[in-house]
Amino acid sequence: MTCQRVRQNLLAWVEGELDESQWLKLAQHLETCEHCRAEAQQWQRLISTLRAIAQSDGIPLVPPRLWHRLSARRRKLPAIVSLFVTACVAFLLGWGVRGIAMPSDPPKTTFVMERVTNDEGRERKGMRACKGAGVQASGLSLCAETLPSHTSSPLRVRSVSVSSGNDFDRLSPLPPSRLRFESSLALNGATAMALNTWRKRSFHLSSLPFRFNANFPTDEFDLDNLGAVWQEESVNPTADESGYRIFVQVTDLKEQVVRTVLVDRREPSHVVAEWSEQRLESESATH
Amino acid sequence: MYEMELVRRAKSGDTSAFETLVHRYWAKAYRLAESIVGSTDAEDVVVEAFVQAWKSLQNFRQQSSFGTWFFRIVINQAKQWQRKAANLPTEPLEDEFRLSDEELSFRDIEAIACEWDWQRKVKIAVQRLPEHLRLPLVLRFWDELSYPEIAQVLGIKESTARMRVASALRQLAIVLAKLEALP
Repeated sequence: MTCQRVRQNLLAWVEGELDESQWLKLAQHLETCEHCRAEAQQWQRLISTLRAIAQSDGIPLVPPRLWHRLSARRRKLPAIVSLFVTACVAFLLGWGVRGIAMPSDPPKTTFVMERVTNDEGRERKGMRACKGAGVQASGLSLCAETLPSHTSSPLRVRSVSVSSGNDFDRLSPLPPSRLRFESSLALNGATAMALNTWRKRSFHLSSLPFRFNANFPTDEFDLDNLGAVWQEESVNPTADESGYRIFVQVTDLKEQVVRTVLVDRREPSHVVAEWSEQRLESESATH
Repeated sequence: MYEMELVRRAKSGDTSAFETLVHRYWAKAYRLAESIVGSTDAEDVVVEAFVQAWKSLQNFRQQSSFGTWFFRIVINQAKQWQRKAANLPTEPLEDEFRLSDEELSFRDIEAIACEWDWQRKVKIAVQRLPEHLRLPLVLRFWDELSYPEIAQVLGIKESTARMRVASALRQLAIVLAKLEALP
């Protein structure tokens, strides 16, 4: 066997793909040809190293954001919202909901707020409620008072899911298309919903292009209904590296309450819903 | 569970089946993406590839293995990423490939092998291979594809795939020798 012929078959030889007769011929050549033998040995070593590299460390774990991206594409997302206690008073300071339902003097308000984290629905650590909050020029001031758990606001987010995916992601800046609430959200009495984004934390139903009416009751509200308005107003994901926030307000005249839900995607692996509930004791909501 | 069954379930909307496929192919896809875009962007590329695969799963007719189909997506995503990226990946050092086979010095490479960072150097050398040689090599030894599968992924003949892997090994030896010569 010539050196040229050996070189043509060297890979198959190293990988053990030659039949016995060919293997023997090549092996005989390698015994006598130092150059071919050296090359064969090097190939064996290289292949061995390549395979070792494939088995070696240095490969990161599957990142949580992949699971989120995949779950965001699921048509049917199981209820995967759980609760954990939060002290979000500081966060809510400056959250200007003043204009939501108080055309003149600020009414006495009751706030029930929780932060919910999507974590496979396994955690539910209760809630913190605040009463006696007042609305001031700078936003909300709250005095925290823990209520017994499950006394609870009728506003419960069963899950905040995204059916068209790629939401809030720096790679695919599409907004979510679906928010799903439990029926206990008490949308029956709702008269309006509004959406807002990170950059417009303070908003009023009547002043928003996102304003829309929906036929309630429904346990699943499809934001696709917003159509072009929503698409046009989808915020620029690069505006805030921490992610998007979308506020959903439900004005419920029957119960005299305005509820605000915040969907937060700052955490790659979590969808955080946070809400406040504002009970109108002196004024009717305007929308 | 057999792969085809996993795919069948995933296509019917069973996300846990797809998650199993993700775990099964994550490392291999990462190595493949890393060989194209480098380690900095490999994770992003693979994430995009899996999302794309999930979106396109209904189009997968199972005429090939899931891996073959998916690795094509990875390669496409990686190339798309390359096009978008301002900093293109390292191009082959032209002078390394002007060397003829006669200039191979396997003794030099043997010396490299003695170094503790041999594997690291091999990885660097793989990165410096031209893409048409690098991809068959990676698919063969990192992703453990057969030659017919490599041919299918890359859209080339099986004999071409074999030839390119052999050429890649030769070029790898040259690049490693070059790396050894660097200060």
